[in-house]
Amino acid sequence: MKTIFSTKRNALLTSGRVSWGAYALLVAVLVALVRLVAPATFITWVTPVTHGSRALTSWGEGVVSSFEDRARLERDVRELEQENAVLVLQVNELESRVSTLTNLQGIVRGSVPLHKATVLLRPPESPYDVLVLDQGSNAGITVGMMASTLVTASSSARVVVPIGTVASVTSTAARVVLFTSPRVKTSVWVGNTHVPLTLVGSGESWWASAPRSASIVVGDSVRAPGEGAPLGVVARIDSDPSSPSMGVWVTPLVNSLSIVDVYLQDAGSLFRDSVSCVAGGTL
Amino acid sequence: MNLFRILVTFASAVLLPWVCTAVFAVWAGIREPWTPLAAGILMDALYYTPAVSRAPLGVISGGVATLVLFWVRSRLRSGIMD
Repeated sequence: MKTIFSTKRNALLTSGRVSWGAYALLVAVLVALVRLVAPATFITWVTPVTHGSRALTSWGEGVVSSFEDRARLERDVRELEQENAVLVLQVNELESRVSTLTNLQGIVRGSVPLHKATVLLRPPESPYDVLVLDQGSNAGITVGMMASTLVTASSSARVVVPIGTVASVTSTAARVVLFTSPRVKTSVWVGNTHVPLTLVGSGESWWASAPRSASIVVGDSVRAPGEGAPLGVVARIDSDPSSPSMGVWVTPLVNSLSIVDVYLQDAGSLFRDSVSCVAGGTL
Repeated sequence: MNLFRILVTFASAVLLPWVCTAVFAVWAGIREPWTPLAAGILMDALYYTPAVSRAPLGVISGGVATLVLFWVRSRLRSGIMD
């Protein structure tokens, strides 16, 4: 009699035993369920893994750097220590000046709480432009907060650069959507003439459409609304004589692959209104 | 060996760029076709947030890869794979 069905020739049921792949699928589904049902527990599980990952990365970098010239490294350390000492003096002097001017003008500056968080997961491990942070609502972090990082702009200055906005929060973790994410639109000012533009993320940079008459040139700085924190610089302008508009490409000041620490603060409604989804609505 | 391939795929989801995870998932999926779907679910459990993408791309791409791998296996003689 002819055999109609044979498990040996069936792709879904290759043999009588359960395959390792099916076990892997079960584990992945369980992990996803834990994230949905108990997100705080999920982050508690993930944190040691990410710390281990970072330790492994640091060890690898240490191995690579051990092959470099030791004398040159020692010289660099000495120079950096001297530079750091000068910077401390400059900061102290500036703080005293600010204090004096504030007292003279009678200005009372309301202090906005600043939260520091460490990045657990980031691109390129993440296929989405999302940072997973190790601090959540227990530390006072709320949805809509502005995430920033420190960038060394020159040998004697570090600037605070906004990188994204908090999109979701659990009790022990937060997810920050980067401004460069393809679904995010950000309202900015460009150049010394403060040309208003709406940037659309494209993964590693931004793109915007501007009228040809706008006075934008390559190298112009791009600043966020509010206090005008720097976001990036104009890298390229695509101008077609037959078109009334031109394409502006902006490179961010921060490489999202190298972000370690993030500073979070409530930047106010002006900032929240300046960031939105491409499809409309807030993040 | 199959278990090793799956463990490498899962570890790469945290340690290596997502492109490596995708490559490892297909590599493991040649022997264990459910692996790309499992890796996609794991990636989305780790990284997905609705603000970035309407659809969980990891689950979708992993599911498609799993279907393709099952189809490929069904077209081959079972003696080659096992």
